[in-house]
Amino acid sequence: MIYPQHLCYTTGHQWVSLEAQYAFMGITDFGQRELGHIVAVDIPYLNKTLERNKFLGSIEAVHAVLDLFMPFSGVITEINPDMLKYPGLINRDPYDMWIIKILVPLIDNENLLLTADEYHALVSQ
Amino acid sequence: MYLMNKRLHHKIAQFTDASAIKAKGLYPYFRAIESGQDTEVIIGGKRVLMFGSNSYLGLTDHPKIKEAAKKAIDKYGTGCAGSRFLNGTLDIHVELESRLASYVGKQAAILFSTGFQVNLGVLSCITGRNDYLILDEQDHASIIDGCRLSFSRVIKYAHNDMRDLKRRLSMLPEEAVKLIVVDGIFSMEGDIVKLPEMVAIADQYGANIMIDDAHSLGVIGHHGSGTASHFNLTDQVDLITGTFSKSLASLGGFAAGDAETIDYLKHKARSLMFSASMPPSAVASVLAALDVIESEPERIEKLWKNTRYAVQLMLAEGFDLGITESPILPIYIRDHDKTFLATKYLLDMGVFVNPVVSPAVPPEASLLRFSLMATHSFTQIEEAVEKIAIVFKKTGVVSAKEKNTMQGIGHYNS
Repeated sequence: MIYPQHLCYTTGHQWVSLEAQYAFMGITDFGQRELGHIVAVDIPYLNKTLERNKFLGSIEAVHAVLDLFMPFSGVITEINPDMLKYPGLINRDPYDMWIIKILVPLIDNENLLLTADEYHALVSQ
Repeated sequence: MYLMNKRLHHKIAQFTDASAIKAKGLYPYFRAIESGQDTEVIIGGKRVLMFGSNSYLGLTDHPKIKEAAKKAIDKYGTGCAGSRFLNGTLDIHVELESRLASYVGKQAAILFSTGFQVNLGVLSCITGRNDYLILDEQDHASIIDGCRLSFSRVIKYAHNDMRDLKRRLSMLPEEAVKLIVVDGIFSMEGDIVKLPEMVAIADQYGANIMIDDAHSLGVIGHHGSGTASHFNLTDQVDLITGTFSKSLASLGGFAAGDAETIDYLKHKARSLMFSASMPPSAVASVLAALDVIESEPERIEKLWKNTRYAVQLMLAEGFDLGITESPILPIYIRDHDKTFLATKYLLDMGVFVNPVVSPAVPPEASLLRFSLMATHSFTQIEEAVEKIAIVFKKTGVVSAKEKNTMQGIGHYNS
C-alpha cells in the first residue's frame, strides 16, 4: 500500500494535503481497501465552519460506512464535483480523488496530524 | 477699517500629536527609503529588513514588470492628460478591465486612479437617500470616507461579528436597498471576513455584499484572486473592489461586478469621472503583474510558507498575534509609548515594521504590524523575530508567554 510522504494523515484514515492556505482531504489507500466499493459520499456541511474532530460527512461503500472528521478547525469551501459524480473513483485513485477542500487556520497550536511514517506504523499494527 | 484676524494658522497649531513624538525622537512616519521596495531597503544609508510592506508577492522589483512599464512609456508616454470619461482612455485600460473582470470572476470591471478613489467613487453614488450602507467597524478609511459622501444611512456592526450584523440587518425596512461593505482581509488585524456566514445572513435579509480586496488580491483565493474565490462564493458577492498598490506592484484600483452596475459606476462615480486616468506605465505594470501571478504560482505558495514560518517562530517567542489569518501579523504590544519605542529600536537594529496606535486601533490594542512577502528568506524572518524579541525585553513588553506564566494560567514547553 502507498502512503505518499508529502501528505499528512489522521487516525481516521484520511489524508490531508496542505497547499498555501488550503488543504485537500481524501481517504487513504488503506481506508478505501477496508471500505470496498464506494457508492456514495455525503458531506452536509459545505460553507460551514466546523471545529477540529467534528463529524463532517460520511462515505458509504457496499458493505460499510466510514465517518469523516475535521482534521483541524476550518471552513469546508468545496466538495470535489467529480468525486460526487463518480464516488467509485476514490477506489481507483484515493490520493488523486480529494473529497473536500478546507481553509487551514493560520494559528493552530495543536497539530494532531500524523506523518506518513506514523500513519504507516498505525495501520501496520 | 476693522481687520478680522486670520485664524487658520492658530487652528493648525493646535495639532501637536506629531511634534510631541518628534520631540521624543520616536517619530516613525514618512521614513524615506533610498532604494527599491524589496525585502531589504536602504534607509539613512543603512541596510534595513523590510517587514512593513504591502508588496505581498514582492513584485515591485520584478524585471518583467519593470520592462512592461518602460515599454508602455515608450509607446503611450508618461500620462493620459484627462479622465477615463473623456480623453484619458487607452486600449490598455480596456484590456486591463476585461482581464481583471475574468480574474475575479465578474462580468465587467472599471479602473480608478487609486484604490482609495474606488471606494470614494462607488460608495458615494451606489445607494440613495433611503438606503443603508452596513459596515464592519474596522473597515478601511476609504470605505468610511466613501460613506460620508453618500446620502445613505450608515450602520456599523462589531468587528467580524456576524450575530451583530444579523441583529442590525433585522431592524432595517424590507424595501430599502441594503449593501454590506467589508474588507476581505482586515489591514491591521490580518483576519478574514467570515464570508460564508455573511452570505447566509445577506440572503436572509435581502442585503447585497461588496468586498474590498485590497489586501486579499495575490494573497488568498484561486491564483490570488481574492476573498470571494477563497471561500468559493464568487457568485454570492455583488461587487469586488481592489487596489494595485499592494500585491500588484503599482498604483490604481478597480471595481468589478455585473455589467449593468459597472456601466452605472462609469457614469456616476465622480472620483472616476473627474480625475485623470491611470498612467500607461501603471496600467502595463498591473497587466504584467497578473501575468507573473499566473505563470509563477509558487510565489503565493512561498508567501504562505513564510507566513507559517513567521507565525511558528513568533508563537514560540510567546508573541501575542491576535486573530490573524493572513500574512499580516499584528504583534500586540498593547501600550502606546512602548509601541513607538519598539519601532524606533527595531529601525536602529535594521528592522522596519509599522506601529499601529490609536486612533487607528483602541489604545489597548497598539501593535506592530509585521507583514510578510513571498521574497523574504527564512534567514531574514529569523533575524527579524530574534531582534523583535530582544527589543521586547529592552522595552519591557510583556510577551504572551511570560504573561501566562506570571498569571499561572498557561504552561508552555519551549
